[in-house]
Amino acid sequence: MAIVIIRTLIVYFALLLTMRLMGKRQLGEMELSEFVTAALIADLAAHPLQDMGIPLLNGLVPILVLFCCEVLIAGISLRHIRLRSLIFGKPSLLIQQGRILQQEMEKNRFTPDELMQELRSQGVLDINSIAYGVLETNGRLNVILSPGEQPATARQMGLNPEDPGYPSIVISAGRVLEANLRHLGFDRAWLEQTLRSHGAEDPRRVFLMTARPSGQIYLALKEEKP
Amino acid sequence: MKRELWALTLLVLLCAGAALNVCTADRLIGTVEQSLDRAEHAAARSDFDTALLALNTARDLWDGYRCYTHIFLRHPDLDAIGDAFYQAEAVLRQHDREAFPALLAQLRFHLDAIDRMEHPEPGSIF
Repeated sequence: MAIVIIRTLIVYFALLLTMRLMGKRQLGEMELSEFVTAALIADLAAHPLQDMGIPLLNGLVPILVLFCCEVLIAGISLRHIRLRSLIFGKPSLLIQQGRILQQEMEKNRFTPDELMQELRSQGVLDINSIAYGVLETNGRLNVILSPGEQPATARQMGLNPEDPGYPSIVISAGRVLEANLRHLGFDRAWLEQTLRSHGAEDPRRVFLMTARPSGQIYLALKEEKP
Repeated sequence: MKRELWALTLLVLLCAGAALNVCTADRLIGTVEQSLDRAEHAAARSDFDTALLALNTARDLWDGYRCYTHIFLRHPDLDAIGDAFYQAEAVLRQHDREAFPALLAQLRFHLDAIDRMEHPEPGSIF
């Protein structure tokens, strides 16, 4: 058991260090320590299940140790900024005022192709229109457009639109969600009347219905099976 | 902060459990090996009844910890020790004084391997 704990700690910190040195690109959507924990736990849990000769405890103890490491590292890094940047790294500025910072790109092992791919996935085709392109510590590239390229907000246009409220699901796959209906301040009578006005007498014929407190709805009927 | 304290407590408890496990393994294997020593000496004097009694005591001690061993130790290791006990007993029943020490050495090797495996030493960690 002691060996299992020590080995888990060694592998955890070795992976943390390796992944940190490999750069942010490998991480996807997770923070570094989350990524390492997720990568290890998935494999650890499978071993005692596949091999009946391994005691279940040999799988459970490392999972608990990893859980403790993850909680402790997350907690400590929340309070100590230096430690946080040491473990998780710092966000990197890859684009500034339409100019690609090549040294930073190289430091993060980010190729121009990958940069273009990331930008396309965010609907940005012109690098000149970007004020800042920041590679976050979780490996995600965030793009802030130049003020002139940003979409105009309602306030900038002098408009004051009303908040229609948060849409809640009222019918999901033919099932009425009574709690959501009550929370919106509506009742069955309102629902039946609304359904009738949209040509759906029976809630079981509805695939999805959402409603806002203002009464605005979205309704999709189930498709007929061929 | 509360969550981190819980995690730290759990980690300390796991370490304490690991230390307790090392002590338990040491004590169990030490006691079993004492009985094996008695069996070896008796067999050397051709006192096979006493040797068989000592070997059975060792096996009873080992089997008495079945719950512990099955939770903490790898099952192939347990099977190897069980087989070694049965082979040593078979040889004793045939009053084979020559073969018994070799089988006993094999049994001790398996027990020592388990003991070493539980000790946090560089050799077992890496």
